[in-house]
Amino acid sequence: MPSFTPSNTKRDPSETNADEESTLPIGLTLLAGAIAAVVITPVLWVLFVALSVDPESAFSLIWDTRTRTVLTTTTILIVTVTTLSVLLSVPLAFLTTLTDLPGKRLWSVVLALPLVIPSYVGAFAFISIWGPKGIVQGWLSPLGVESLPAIYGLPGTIFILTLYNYPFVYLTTIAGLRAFDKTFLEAARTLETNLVSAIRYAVLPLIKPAVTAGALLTALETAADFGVPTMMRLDVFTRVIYVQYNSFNLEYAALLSLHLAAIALVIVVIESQVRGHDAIHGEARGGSRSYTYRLGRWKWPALALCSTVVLFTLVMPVAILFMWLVHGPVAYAGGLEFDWEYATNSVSVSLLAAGVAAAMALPIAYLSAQYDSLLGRIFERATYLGFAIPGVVIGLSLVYFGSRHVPSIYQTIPLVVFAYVVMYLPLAVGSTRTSILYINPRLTEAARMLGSSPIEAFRRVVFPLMIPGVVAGSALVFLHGMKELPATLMVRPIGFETLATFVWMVEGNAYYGYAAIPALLLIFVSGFSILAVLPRDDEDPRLRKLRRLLPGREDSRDPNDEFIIDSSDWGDLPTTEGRESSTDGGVALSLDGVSKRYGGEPAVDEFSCSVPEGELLTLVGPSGCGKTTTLRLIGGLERPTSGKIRLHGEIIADETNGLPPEERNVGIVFQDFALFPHKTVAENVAFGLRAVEKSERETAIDELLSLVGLSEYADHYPAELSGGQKQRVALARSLAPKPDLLLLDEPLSNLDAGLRIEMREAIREIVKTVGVTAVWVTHDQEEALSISDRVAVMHGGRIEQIDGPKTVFTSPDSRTVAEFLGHANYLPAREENGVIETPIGPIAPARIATDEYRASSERLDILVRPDDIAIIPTASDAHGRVVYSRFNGPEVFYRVALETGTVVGCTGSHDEWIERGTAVRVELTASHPLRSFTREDE
Amino acid sequence: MVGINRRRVLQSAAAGTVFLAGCMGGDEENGNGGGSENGSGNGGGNGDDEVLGDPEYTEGRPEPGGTSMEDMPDLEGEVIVYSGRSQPRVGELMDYIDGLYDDLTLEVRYDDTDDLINAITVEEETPADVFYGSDSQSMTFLKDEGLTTELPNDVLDLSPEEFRDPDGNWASFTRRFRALACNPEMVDVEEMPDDIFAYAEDEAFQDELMWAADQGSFQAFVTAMRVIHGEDETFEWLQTMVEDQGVVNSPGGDSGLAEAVGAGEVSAGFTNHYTLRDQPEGAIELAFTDGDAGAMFNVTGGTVIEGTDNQASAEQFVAHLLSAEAQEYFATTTWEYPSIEEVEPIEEVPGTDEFSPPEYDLNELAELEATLDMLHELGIET
Repeated sequence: MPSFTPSNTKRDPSETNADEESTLPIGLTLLAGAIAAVVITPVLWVLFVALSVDPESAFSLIWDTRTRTVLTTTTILIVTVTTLSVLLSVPLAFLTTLTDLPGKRLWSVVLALPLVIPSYVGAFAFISIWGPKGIVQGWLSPLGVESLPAIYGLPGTIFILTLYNYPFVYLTTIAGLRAFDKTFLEAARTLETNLVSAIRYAVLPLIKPAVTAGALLTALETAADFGVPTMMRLDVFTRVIYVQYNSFNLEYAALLSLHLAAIALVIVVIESQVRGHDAIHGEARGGSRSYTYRLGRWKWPALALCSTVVLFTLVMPVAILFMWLVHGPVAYAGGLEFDWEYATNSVSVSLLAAGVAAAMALPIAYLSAQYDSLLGRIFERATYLGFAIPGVVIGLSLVYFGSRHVPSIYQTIPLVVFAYVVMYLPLAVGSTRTSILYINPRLTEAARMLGSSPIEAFRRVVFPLMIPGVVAGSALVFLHGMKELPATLMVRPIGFETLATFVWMVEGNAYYGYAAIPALLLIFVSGFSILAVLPRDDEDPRLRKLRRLLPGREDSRDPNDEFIIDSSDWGDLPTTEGRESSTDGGVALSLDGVSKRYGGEPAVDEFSCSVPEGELLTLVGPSGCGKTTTLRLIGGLERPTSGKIRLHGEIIADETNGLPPEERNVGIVFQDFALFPHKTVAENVAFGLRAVEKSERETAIDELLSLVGLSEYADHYPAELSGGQKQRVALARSLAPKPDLLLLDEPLSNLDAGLRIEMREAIREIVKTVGVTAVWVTHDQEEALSISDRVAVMHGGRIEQIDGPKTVFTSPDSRTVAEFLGHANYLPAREENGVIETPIGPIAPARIATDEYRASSERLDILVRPDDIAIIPTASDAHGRVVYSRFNGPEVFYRVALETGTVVGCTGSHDEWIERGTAVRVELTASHPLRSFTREDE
Repeated sequence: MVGINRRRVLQSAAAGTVFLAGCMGGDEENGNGGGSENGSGNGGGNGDDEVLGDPEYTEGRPEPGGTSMEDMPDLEGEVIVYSGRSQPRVGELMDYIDGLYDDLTLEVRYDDTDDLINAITVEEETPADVFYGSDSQSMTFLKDEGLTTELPNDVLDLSPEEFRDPDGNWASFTRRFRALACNPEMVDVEEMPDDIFAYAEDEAFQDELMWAADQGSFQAFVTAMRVIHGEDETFEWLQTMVEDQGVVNSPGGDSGLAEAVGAGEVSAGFTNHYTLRDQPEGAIELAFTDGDAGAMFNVTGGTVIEGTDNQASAEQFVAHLLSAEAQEYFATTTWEYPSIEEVEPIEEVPGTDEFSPPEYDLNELAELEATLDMLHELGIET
């Protein structure tokens, strides 16, 4: 017996970002590839130099015991620091996003601030305080404490690097926590009752991509850090490289740098495996409400944890700097005055680097986020290598290239900027990429369907939405640029001093007094950029209010490259005198043998049908039956593998060609509405009307909004609307360009049950009012039957039956259709003496709808719906007994075991209640012809 | 044996905080700097009425002998100096020279000696006209790479023969001596052995000695020992120091060493004489050995880069650092020993007659690799 098994699901392409996974856009790919090549070149130079070492020495260097010890130490350091950073960051992120921690907004800024403190300053302060002759020892010595536990070596290094690198994980984790739908957490808590397991099973898997993204940066930063391990006297690769470098053994230094590059590769690959390629955009349903866990007594330990972290990472180093400031310069150093120019130098170079990195990150991030392709992944991952190579090596590499190939920029600011870009581009790429992944791909599709070209859709929708991510990435580049030291020293113009180089110079000579002001300035300036890095909570309502006041939000330049709508059409749109809803007009849409395959598997298989002008056709079927794919093929969001699609007789897609979505004049309403979150209701509706003159456009918006009953909400943002309201905006938006065809993809499935019924009436009403031809996809048979002119029941990529709602219900062509559309009872029957005998008595052959039984055999299954039959309690001529009853409100559902063993379901009035076990007679009450099927072998 | 003590007030906050100097590569001399593009900084200037150098120590000194800058040929055009000596140490002097001549643009790239050497090696055609090194090894390295030119005799002749490259490719500006920094409360400097090898034998020094193995000056000292006393003897000395005497590696270069000695963590350490300059008064005193590697000196100096487009001024720039004014500056401000006999070292450091340095060719200090191999073999962290 055929049935719809849930496992029989085809890959639903609408669930991925990759619409055209096989066809990367050539221009974008080339651009991203070129950028990746440019930033990877300095790293490749290291390889080139390393290859000049003769193989024997190379091998002995790579495998000597010392190198292996260093490899072990480095690995332990990276793994431990990364693990501890995650263990520290995730709780801190929870505390500052999901709880009622006092002052949590302030904490979330302060806890990210360690990122702006150069780790060498932090380590310096740490040693000053805790070192063998440090401040604490000074306090304790009167108490007879002669020495403190040694702080040097692996534990101390791990401690400091964790404190200064955890904010990477912290920042990405709060971004993840703020983005996901908090209802998950509530739901999980009701199921799990206990917060810990709720977090473990519901929250952690959801924020995993965010945590791994941060852990990647922490790991790479740890691998490349030089100052801290050196100060803490720990032999790691950066330090060993430096030793070779100091002995002028560039080749050996390069060779050892390859170790670091290899470590970086491993880290990057591991992270790739862990994070996958998941789009992490939230659902577009009702606003994700904020969730607050009340800490209660736990408030104090939580505050203590935050304070301790801040004390170690911020208060102590800053206090040390202030001590220097108070004591002032003491030692004599001629010509060593602080100049404000150092600050402007730092800021301008870092800003330039931030801007360039943001621009260069864009193509790489977009390619890798939007297309799940190997090439895109390689380009994106390649940028991470520069982050793990020590700055001295990058700097030297740029000296090589600069002086050889571009002497005009050697020792100029552009080369410094480029050095920063090589090292910090991944920060911009990562942040930008994440922001793109958070953008619902439906938004781009919605824009395309509203007439925007791909570039325009990017400009009007994707770009504005990814700006916060781009800004955050740039800010990270900026604050790293502010701290950068070794590469700056190598490539800067002669006499070009930054805050970092100045601090280092005077500290290097033990002139601490001179270092205080520039170091504090560095921290202060970078501190501001943290505000840009910090992910924002759900958008501040005040910001929305402000935006609402800004004039001219929707630009309307250059309307000529748009498809042109005949504006004379506009008069009749909102009125009821639209096209007739009759089905006897011309054919609006026809599909002819359309197939869509994904790697051989057909999602849509030889689909043919035609839709008359003004008809409302529903495609109904279980998930995976290909109905959404069919819709996307019609809309142009997918290309058919074979077959032809015609709109008003004109071919819009076949196996070789296809009009892009923006040129089809087809409107679509998505399941998750896909409203543009950065635009008001009116702007959303106006999105596809840019070619229309302003006054007409405004009239049209007014009329459409009144049609959907949302006139009062014109200036609201989608986040302020309920699900039903969003749905109506989406409908108005898709109708605005007066499409030839309207597609609705499960438009009601994101709504509450009660609202769903109300809305389906409303939508049908509107569609019929406007008179537009519509194809509506649903998995809900009741919805399909109640609103359609015709219903197409799909299964396995094919149409099983296409007919009016009554016909498909009462006279299904197959058991598949019968069962999908409602409860189906099959009465086994056989013909005897011109009468059809069934377990509930004989039925006249005339009542059987088809002639199928005549053609086949005497063995039939007659389809009876629960309301085709009635049960009557009786003592004498019973057919069976009630074995199950369920009160449904208006009606009661019974299951009756017939004497023959067949069980049938039937409904009765709520007026009467028949107890289980009651002997009943089953009577056929339906007057319509009954459908029968040949019985299968038992 | 000579015992010296010196003073210098460092703020207490910096106690124990001298480690950066070590970590950032090189001893404190190698620190980097930048920014003194021209003579607009303070301390630079017109030379006449302004005192060059640390006023606390310039006063009361006799007029320096030797050739004044005024009597040297003028510098002109653009002279680019890659300086391994840091701006805090020599920036004032650079600004001073720049300020002397209207037609001179003196550009100084301050950086680690190692960074500069690597840069010059890697640059296709270095912009540098002069390399100013903080040790002889770096200049020898450049010479051996064929990146330097011979200095003219009138420049070479400004300093005695023993302080310059036998090939005439570099001239030294100052000398600095290896010394033992001693804590006067823990040892009597007068009683310290004057034989470097005695420190490996005397049980009194067990766990009481420190060195700064990551420093170029220490490594040059080991190289000198190899050159003077042979590989085996050097290896044995290092091994005994580590295994029997439990020598401590400095937490932060030579400054950290001096700090640790002053604080009494150890009673003595192998370091450079000028560490005295930045220590509080009386905290440490210096002892010297006699005629062995422990008494070696190293030099700072300058060399003209092959292919310079301003040869004459580059050469004369080197000459200027051998002038009376420059030498006096070094004596009073960096507390090093002048290279010209006409300027006396500052009285806070021992007179040159109290030293008996060993005889060896400074060029041989460039053989660093074997030294590093030896240190690594013994597990000494560099």
